[in-house]
Amino acid sequence: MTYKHMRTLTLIVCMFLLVSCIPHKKIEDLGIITTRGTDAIEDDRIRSTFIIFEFNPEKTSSRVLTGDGKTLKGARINANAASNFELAPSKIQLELYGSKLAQKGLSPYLDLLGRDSNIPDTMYLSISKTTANDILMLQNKGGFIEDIGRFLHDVIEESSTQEVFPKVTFSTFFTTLFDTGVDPILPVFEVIDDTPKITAIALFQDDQYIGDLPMEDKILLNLLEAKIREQLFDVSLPFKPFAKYLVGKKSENKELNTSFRILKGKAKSTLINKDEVSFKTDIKLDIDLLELSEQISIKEPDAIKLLETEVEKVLTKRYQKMLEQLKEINTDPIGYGAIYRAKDKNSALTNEKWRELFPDIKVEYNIKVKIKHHGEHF
Amino acid sequence: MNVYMKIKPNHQIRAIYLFFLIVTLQTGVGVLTISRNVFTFSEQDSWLSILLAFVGMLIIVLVMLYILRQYESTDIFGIQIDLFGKFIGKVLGVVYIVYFSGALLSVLSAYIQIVQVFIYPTLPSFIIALLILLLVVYASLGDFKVIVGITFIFFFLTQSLFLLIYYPVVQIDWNHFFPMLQTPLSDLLKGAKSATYSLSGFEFIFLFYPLINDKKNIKLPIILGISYTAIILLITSVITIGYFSLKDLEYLEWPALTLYKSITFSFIERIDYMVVVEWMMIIVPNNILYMWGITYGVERLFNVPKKKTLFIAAIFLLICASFLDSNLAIHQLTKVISIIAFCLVFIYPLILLPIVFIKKRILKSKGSAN
Repeated sequence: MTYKHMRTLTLIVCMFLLVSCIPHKKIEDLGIITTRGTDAIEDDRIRSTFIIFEFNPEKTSSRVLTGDGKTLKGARINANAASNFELAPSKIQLELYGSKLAQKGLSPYLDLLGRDSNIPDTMYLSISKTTANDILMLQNKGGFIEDIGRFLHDVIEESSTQEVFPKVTFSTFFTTLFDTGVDPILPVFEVIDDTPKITAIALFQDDQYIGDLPMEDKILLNLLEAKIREQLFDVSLPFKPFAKYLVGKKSENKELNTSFRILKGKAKSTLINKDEVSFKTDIKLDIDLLELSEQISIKEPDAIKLLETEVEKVLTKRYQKMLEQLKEINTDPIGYGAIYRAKDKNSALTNEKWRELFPDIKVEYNIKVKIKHHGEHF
Repeated sequence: MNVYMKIKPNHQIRAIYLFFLIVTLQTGVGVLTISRNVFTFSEQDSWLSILLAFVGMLIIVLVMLYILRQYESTDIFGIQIDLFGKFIGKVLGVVYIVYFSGALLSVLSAYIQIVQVFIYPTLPSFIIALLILLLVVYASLGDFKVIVGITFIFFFLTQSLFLLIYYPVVQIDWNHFFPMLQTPLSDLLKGAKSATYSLSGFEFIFLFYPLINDKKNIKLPIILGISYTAIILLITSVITIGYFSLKDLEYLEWPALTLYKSITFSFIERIDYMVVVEWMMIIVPNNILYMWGITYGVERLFNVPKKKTLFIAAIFLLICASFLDSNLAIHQLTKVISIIAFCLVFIYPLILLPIVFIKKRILKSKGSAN
């Protein structure tokens, strides 16, 4: 063997040996945390509930662990004591907070998430109507849910086709929380007949959970948040104006229930008067008619026109109603404050100042609805 | 030591490679922190600060080229000796070498810190430094052409990293940039000054000059190189400011890396781990070039063989990097280096310019008198 060969060989051997310099973990020895629930219990302590995923040679499975502690890390260590695995947080997909804890403020728990580079930014955050433990314990009930964490995660994924509510990732929540003049929102889970469902939209004042909006308002918020495509929504219209287009028998209903699919929806809010703090929000909607609760002849252009204006009216009313609700508890998830700040030359707007201004703002909603397809009778 | 250098054409490179050399020297860990550094001073107008810094850099580069053109074929070490005499010239040369070592150390330890924070919290700095320096030493054992080749290849390997940030781009909130143009000029300039750490690296033009084959074509690749870096810095800072909230940004240690944390694919959950590891392809050629600067400088000034300097410098850096393991110490080092970088890279050529100008004038008048 020549000197050259020797040298190459040494290098190759080094290459293999040096690999062991790096600490490694075996996946079979790890409990991969997929979901974490956090609740406040007495004496400022917190209870963490983990759904962990185990890789066994025979079968991979999920199970629940709980631990108490003063900090999240402490709770994890406490839970770890009850398991033969090392709990690894780098694949948490969902964080669930109990409502009591959320009312006290989420900041201390979010701070940890931001500080630990091991924890992904892409996980979803959510609130439990009761405690996080209540929901995650459904894991032990069996039934059709094999992995409750996965289930909740999928519920969130399925109920939003785009990157909008209820898909609130840690990074979006954190950004909204720290932005001036806009408050974050989160989905609220509630257990109904042993099945968790998203039943409301949690409203925040800074990091404190202070109230709910009904789930029907989801579409209103999402429209203002981003360009919306391919989303369904229902509207109940007053029946009276449609009476003359009625075909067939008249029913008892006073309302005409309709269902639409949004093809394209976009919104733009602008500040029109800075001293009066008044805004204008233009919303453009291209929709498809999917369902009508009554037999109405929609072949005539007038009927379509009427339908469009009625939808516009109802949506405007719903927006105004939602705004009143938001003003009442003084929280601004729509972000009118952010628009105000951007126009504020000295950029001196703080969240406190916006809380003083917000209850008195005026918003004018201009909604333009266009029905693109209305379906045919076959 | 001769002021003028005669380099055989087969040891020289073509001017076009300067583009890759300069981009590699400028992108170290600076890209990762720039938006925070600049943001502390100029807030939503950070992009303006970076543009200002770019204009400053362009002027300095033109000044440097003017200085170099006054000589036939020499580097900064030769110029300093020609201007200030042997002793002062050598002392100033040593300042350059110390700065190169400091810059190398700051990039290396910052990267080690990133690896420790993101992937291996328990892995000692010594091991990571050793692994990186082994590569650096190995590459530096080749001649200048090998180093240029490495830079060239790694440049193309790392560009894909920038494509990955498409997701945060979609999520940008343009409201973050308003109200525009509210920052006073003094703050804008302070912001521009804080960008200099990320922009430094083009001072190597002073070293590369004699090694270039076609000196006529030198301007274009250099200007393209610095523009490329400036554009990358501009884009990263625009995305980070648009994506993160304004208050949030001041607390983020590496805003650009955090961007990668919010990207996920169905087949890779944590793209940020990959990015941290791939960032080594940016760090290694960067370190190799700084190491080349050190060994080349020492050889030129004191006639010490390159190999000797290389091993001594590597051991010295290894020891320093192993002991530099707290956040605070690295911050402190980076702060000192960025001050030196500002003086040496941005101010010093402006001081040299009139001296060179006057000296050439005197020589000319003497020549005509004779």
